[in-house]
Amino acid sequence: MGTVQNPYSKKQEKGVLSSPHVKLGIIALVFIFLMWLFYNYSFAVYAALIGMSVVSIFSGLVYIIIHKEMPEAKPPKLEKYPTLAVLVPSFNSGKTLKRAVESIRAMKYPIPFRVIVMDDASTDGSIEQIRSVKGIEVVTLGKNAGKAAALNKGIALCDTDLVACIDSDTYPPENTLMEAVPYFYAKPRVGAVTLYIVVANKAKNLLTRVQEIEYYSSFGFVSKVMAKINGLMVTPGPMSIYRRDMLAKIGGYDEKNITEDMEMGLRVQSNGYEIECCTDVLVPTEVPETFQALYRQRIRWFRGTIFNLQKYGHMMLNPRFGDFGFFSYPAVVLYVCFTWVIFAILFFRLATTALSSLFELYLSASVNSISFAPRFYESIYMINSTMILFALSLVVWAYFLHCSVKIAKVKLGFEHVLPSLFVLIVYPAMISWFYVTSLIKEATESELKW
Amino acid sequence: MVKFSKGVYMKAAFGTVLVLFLIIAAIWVIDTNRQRDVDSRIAELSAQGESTRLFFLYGQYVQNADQQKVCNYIDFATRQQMDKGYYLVTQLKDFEAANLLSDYQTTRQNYYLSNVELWIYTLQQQRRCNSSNVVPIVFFTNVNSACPQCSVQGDILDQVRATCNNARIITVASDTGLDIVDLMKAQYNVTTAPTILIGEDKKLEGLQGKDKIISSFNCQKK
Repeated sequence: MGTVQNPYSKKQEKGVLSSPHVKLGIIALVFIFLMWLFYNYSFAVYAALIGMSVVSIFSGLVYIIIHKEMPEAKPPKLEKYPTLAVLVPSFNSGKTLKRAVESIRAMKYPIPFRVIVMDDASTDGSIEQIRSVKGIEVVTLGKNAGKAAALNKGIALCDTDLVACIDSDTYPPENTLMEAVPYFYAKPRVGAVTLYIVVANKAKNLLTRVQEIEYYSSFGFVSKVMAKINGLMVTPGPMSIYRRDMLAKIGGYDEKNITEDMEMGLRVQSNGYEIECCTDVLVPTEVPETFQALYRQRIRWFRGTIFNLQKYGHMMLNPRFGDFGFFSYPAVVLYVCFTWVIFAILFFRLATTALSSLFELYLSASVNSISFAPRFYESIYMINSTMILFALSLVVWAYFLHCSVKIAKVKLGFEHVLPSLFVLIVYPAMISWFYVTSLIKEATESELKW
Repeated sequence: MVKFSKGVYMKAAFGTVLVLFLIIAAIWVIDTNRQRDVDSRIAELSAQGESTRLFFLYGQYVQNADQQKVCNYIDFATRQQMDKGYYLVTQLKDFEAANLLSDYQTTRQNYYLSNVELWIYTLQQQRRCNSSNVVPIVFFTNVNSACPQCSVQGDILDQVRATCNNARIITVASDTGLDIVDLMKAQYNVTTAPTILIGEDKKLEGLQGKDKIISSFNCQKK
């Protein structure tokens, strides 16, 4: 996904965070929080810990109760399949486009379906590679306009019942459409169907293995459970299928949004449609292979998350949106906020420890008695509430991963031990850092990059 | 009809309360056991002090008591008390850092009182046994307010203790408001932390280097 599109040049719509008053407010709040930490560190930590525990225990239990007690939506057997078109936006995706298009073309469906590749003014000659693939239509955009614009152009060209949007680095298996399309008829107002996205280049290195584990736990169990209460808020970019009439009604993709898939998911929900999730088929997609690419991708995702959560703030705790407004939406907002708070606490702790250690080193040196013993390690082995909560979240996460892997019908081996530990221990810190960077970039309106 | 799964959230809320209760109960058990452990070690220190006191009384009231033997016992007992106290100070700090629910004020107070007791016995030992090889060093430190100098001084005194066999370093919290500590502070005119009192007559105010401390008394190197 990271290599598909061009640097995004357009400014996205102004969010609440762009207001100078809000910016000042955020700075003031951060300052007050740091002062509070300084004067009453333990209380601030306990308050954040208890808040985070309540949110995570509650949401974990909600997932488990829904999983155990609510029946799954059973897609009916279709006698007549709806007409369908596949849209593949592409920008300089020479490395993956041919394989993606061949996979798409090989998908089985009872009636013929169009495959339209929207070339967003590529300069790498990638389109020439797919000329030989039969049954492909290529539409070239005159100038580079971005993924959302390319998709909108494609949607305008379709007159089918359904539109499947597939990234040019995603390789759906043969049975994808046959399994996913019936979900549109599982409930009355299904406007979109998402799929179980997995990592195609998982064996490349540790980073891709880590993302493999992350994708299992994000797109497997949690998506399936959330779909039961219509709580999904993202229609993943790698592959999602939409009702075309719904897209026409709600206005297609937001061309000014950097995470158009989340914006679309929220818009589908805010217009009263449901999002279903088909986990019967695994759809592999390419993920970033370097830290730099991952960083850029996540900053884009998280800035988009911050922006979109504000944009659709009216859905929060709004009875009109049922479970989505009362659980899904607030859970994500609280998760993002606690990520910032925990990061602030950890950063404060590390910074003060480092500064006091340096000052003590200077003091020792000033009396010619160097004794450097960092105090950070002193109580690291002690069992305290943090460790109990960590152990609890470890068990819950392991259960979610187990369920996700069971749904995917894959087996985790020895090679997944290290990535799993990484996802558990290092990843949360990394994600927090990305979230804080995204918040700062969003607040300072720094340039958006794809 | 928009769906709102009230039953699910009620159950999850009940479960959350239950899980939090279990976590708090687990923390309470861990904290209480840990504090009990420290309390019992402090009780051991006090018992050690009691034993030292008995040796003094023995030497004083038992006719024809072998004073040299008594002094050897006193030396052994005070040394043991000091060693135990040194181990305890780190443990106390760690336990307090990990503690959530227990109140360590009394525990800490008992520890500092046992230190003062040890200092008095060491002074008494010096006088009664005429043992010039024991040098009591009182380290006045702040525990209730930030004092980076105190923490560095503590590390430096650890080095002094490791270098000089005859140094008996006794840590006294000067900002806890204990009457006996206030009495000591008034007696030796201690106004700042860190302050080091070597014997009864030499006072070093502010952060001191290892060499300066060692040169202030007759250090018997290990």
